[in-house]
Amino acid sequence: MLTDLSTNLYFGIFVTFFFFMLGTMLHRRWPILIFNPLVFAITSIIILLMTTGIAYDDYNQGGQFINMWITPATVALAIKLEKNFVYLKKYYTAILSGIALGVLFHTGVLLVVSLMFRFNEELVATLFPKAITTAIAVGVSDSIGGIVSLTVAIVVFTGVLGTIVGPPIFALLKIDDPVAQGVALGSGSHAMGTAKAIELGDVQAAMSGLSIILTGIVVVILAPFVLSFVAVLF
Amino acid sequence: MKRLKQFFWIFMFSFIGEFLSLVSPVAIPGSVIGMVLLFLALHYKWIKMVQVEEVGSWLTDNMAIFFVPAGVALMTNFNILGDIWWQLLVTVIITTSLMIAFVGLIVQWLKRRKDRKDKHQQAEKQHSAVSGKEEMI
Repeated sequence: MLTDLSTNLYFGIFVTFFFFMLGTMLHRRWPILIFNPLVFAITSIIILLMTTGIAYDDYNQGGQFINMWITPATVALAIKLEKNFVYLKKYYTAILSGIALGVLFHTGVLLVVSLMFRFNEELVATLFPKAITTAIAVGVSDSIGGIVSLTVAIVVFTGVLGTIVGPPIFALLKIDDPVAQGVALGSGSHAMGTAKAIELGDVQAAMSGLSIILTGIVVVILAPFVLSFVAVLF
Repeated sequence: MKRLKQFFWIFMFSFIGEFLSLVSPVAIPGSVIGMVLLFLALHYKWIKMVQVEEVGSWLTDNMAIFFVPAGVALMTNFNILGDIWWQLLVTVIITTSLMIAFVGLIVQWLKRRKDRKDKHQQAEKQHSAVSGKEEMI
């Protein structure tokens, strides 16, 4: 009976909505990190599945029907992009240089930290595409010899982390410009960062959505060079 | 019916994007291709904003919940994480925070520099037009 219930299509859909709504309510009352709806829903469901012994694949029977909305939602970002096109046209130099330098900087920091922890070549390749959207990250990780499933997990964690650390970083460093906030969130934590940017405002959302594309392209172009560099260093 | 039509356009671009991603030799996700195509369609007015706006905004405004299943999938990777999980955690925290801070600061700095330059040019124009008037900067 219990397996019939857990493999039911609506089980995954229901628990996802239930914990997300619960997180939203709790976060409204107590706006702290663990009640961030996305973080709260993910942790609660993982705990639920592990304690009850329900397999991830059972949950994903319904979960995949929620997951499938990522593509149309990403496509729909074009609306925000078009509405805020004037910003891109005016500030394309700032946006493009910010992203290109950002990806180079990110790669540099990653190499230093990896040397510190003595990560092997495979792990560096796994981590390198972590800031970009899952679909591109998988391709990059695979092409430079990373562990693809681990890259997916790290990409998701990077996204969650970006939504958490983004706003405090902006407050601390006085980054109050909406274009800068959007580009930073989109290039540092892909579509999940964009979900946060949408909460901050329309300009942030459009810039963040745009930055996902641009960062993805820069990372794809940079990947072969990083690969040869890593082969020498690690 | 109005909303169904809006869904139709968004799903059509999603599908075209996924299809092109499948046949393209480089790894570009379908969602990104779909976004670029819908943007071009809106920008060049092949599709009017009102034909997709309501449903599209509803989708993007509620985007966070769509990532829950992908996040729960983390549990299937617990075994690979083993005893290096804390090192990976530290690496992700350091690199992500520094990247967001770095990109935010650089873009803000470059943008403000451009804003100042534009203002300066504007002021100069005004200055030459109305002689004797003090510049703002």
